[in-house]
Amino acid sequence: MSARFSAYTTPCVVQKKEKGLIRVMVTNEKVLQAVCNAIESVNQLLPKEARLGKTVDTILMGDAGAVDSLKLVNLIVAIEQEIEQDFHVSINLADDESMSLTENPFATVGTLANYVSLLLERKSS
Amino acid sequence: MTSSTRHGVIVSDFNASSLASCLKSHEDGPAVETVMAPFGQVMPALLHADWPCWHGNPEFAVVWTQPQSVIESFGDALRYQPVSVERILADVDAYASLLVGLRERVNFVLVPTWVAPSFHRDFGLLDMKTGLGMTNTLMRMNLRLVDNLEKWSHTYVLDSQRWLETAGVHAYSPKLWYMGKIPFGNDVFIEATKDIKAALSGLYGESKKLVLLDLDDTLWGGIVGEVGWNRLTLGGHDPAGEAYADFQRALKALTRRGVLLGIVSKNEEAVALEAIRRHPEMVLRVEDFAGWRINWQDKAANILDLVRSLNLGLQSVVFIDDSPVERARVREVLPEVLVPEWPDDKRLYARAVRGLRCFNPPSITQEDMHRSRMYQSERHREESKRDMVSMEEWLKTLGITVKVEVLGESNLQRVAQLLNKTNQMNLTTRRMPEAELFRWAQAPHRRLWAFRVSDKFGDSGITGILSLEIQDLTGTIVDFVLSCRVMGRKIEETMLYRAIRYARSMGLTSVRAQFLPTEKNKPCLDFWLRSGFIYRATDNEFWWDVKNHYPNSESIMLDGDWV
Repeated sequence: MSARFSAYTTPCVVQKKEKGLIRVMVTNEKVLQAVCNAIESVNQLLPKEARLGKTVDTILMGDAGAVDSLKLVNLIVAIEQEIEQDFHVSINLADDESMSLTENPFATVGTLANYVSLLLERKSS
Repeated sequence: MTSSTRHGVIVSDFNASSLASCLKSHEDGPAVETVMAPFGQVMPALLHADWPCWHGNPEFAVVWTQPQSVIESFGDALRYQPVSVERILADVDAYASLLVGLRERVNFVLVPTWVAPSFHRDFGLLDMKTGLGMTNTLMRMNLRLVDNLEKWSHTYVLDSQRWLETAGVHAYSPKLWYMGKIPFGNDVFIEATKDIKAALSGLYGESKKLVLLDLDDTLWGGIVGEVGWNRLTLGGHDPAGEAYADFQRALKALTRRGVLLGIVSKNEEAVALEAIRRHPEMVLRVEDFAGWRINWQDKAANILDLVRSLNLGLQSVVFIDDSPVERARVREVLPEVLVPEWPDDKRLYARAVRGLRCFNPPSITQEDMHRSRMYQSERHREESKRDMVSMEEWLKTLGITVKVEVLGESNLQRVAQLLNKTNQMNLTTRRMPEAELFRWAQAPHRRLWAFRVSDKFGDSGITGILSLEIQDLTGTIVDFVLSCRVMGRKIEETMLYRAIRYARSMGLTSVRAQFLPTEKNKPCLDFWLRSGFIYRATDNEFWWDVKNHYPNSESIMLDGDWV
C-alpha cells in the first residue's frame, strides 16, 4: 500500500502502478456505482462540454480539475443521497475531516469512491 | 433546434446557478442564455433598471424568490410575531407592482409561485387556519400575487409546487441550502427548466398547433378493420376501455385550447369513419378533427400531405402512435415533427398527453376555442369549390364579409397572437408582445387595423392585420399579416384596398412596403408580386401611387369603418 492514500485507504481499494501513474482500483463496485449515479445526476444540470466523466481516473479537483464550487456542492449532496438510498446509511462528505486530510479525497472519482468506502466501513464498525 | 437563443435575467434571493446552468444545457425547447442578478439582491435588482444584469436587452426575466425574503411581514409571521394577513397581502401587492414594472426592461416576466418545505410543520394542526397557519397564508399570498399579475400580458405565474411534487423527497435539500444557499434539489431545477423553456416556446409563437393520431390501439383498443366498430375496446366498465375514453377526453380538452386534431391511420377510410361516427363511447367525433388521411400509404407521406392541406408547418405538429416502428419512421423522415415516446400501457395514455409541455399558447382567444369548427367549415368550402367553374364565381357564392377594426382592448390579444404566430402570409414577420404592440400602435403617425372575416360557412374571426406608418406624405406598410386559413380569397386585396383608401383620405402621395424574406413567407412575396404594386427587386420594395384607386374584389362585402 502506498502511503499516499494511507489516510483513508480501505481493504476494498487496490492500487497498481500503470504507465508511471498510480491507478486506483475501486473493487467495491456498488460504491463506485453510487458515485457514478451521483455524477450522472449532477451532469443533468450541466452543458455537454462541462459534464463530469465517470471513470476512476476522472480528475475532479486540482489543476486539471473540472469541478467548481457549485458542482462540488451538488456532487457531495448527490453522493450522500445515493449512499443513503443504496446503503441506508447517512454519511457526511463535507465535514472537517474531509477538508483537513493531507490527500484531497475529492481529487478524482476513484479517491472519492475510496473515501466514501472508508466512511461506510467506519459506520459499519 | 429551430429558434434563436433567448436571453434572460434570473433574479433570486437564493443561489440559482443550477437553474442558469440547466437552462443552458437542457436541449429541448429554445436555446437559453441567462445572466443572474447579484445573489440575494432581489429588491435592488427589481428597482434599478441600470444594474448591469439588465444591460444587453434581455427578453425575459425569471424572478424566483422565497416568500420570507421578499415579503418581510411573512418572515415576521414565520417567527410567530403577530402580523395580520391584510398586512402581508398589502406587502404582496407592493412586491407585485415591482414585477409589473419590469415591462420596461423585458418582454416577459416568469414568476414561480412561493412554496414552503413540506417538513415545515411548525403550526401543526393549525397550519391551515386563517390568520395563523403558514400554509393558509402562503396560499393567499400566491393567489394575491396571481390577482395582481394576471391583468398584465407580460407576466406569467408558474406553478412551482408541481416541480416539487415531481422531485419528490429530495425537492428540498437542507444540505444544499447550508452548503450552497440552494434550497431545492436538482430535480426541481430540471422541472423548472422544462416549464420555463416550454413557456418561452409558447410566448414566442412556437406552441404546437396540431396533434396527429393513429387510430387502432391508440385512440381505441383493437383493429377496427378486423373486429368491427362495435367490438372495439372503448369506454364502458373496463380498465382499458376507460383509459382510451379518458385519453380521448384529454385530446378533446386540447381542442378547446386551440389545438387541432387530425388522423393519420392505416385503415379503410369508410370503416374508420364509421367507427368514429357510430361507436357510442367515442368522445371525439368527426367534427373534432381538422382533417385526416386514412389509407394504406406511408404515414410520413400522409402527414406531409395533411399538414400542407391545413396550411400549417411541420414544426407545429405532434404525432402520436402506439407503434414504435411508425414513430421511428416519422422521426427519421420528418425530424421537425415532435414524436413523443409513447407508453406501452394504454392506461398511461391520458397522463402522457396531459404531460406534454408543447401546448403553451400565451392566451386563448374565441378563435382558438372554435378552431376545429373553422376547419370543418373549410372542408365544406372546399367541397363547394369543386362544382364551380371559376375562382371568382366560387368566391361570390361564399358571401364573404370583411369587417375592419381599429386595434383596441377587445381585439389586442388576438391581434398579438396572429402577429406572433403567422409565418406564411407575413410581410416582415415582426414579433412583438401585446403590451409593446399596443404602445407601438398608439403613436399618432401609426395605424393598425384588424380584419375579421366571415362567410356563409362560418366566422373565421380576426384573421388579418395591416399596420401603416406615415412619414411626410408616404405611408409604409409595416405589418401585412393574414392567417393561412383565409389566404387566396381576395382578403389580401381587400386589406390593400383599405390601406390605399386610407392613404388617399389622408392626402398621402404613395404607399410602400418592404418584403423581408424568411424561410416560410414566400407565399406573401408571391401575393405582392401579383398585387399590382410596382416592384423593385433590388431591395424587395413595393410601391403604389396613391393617385390611383386600388380595386376591391366584387365578391367581398365590407363592414365597419372603411373611410
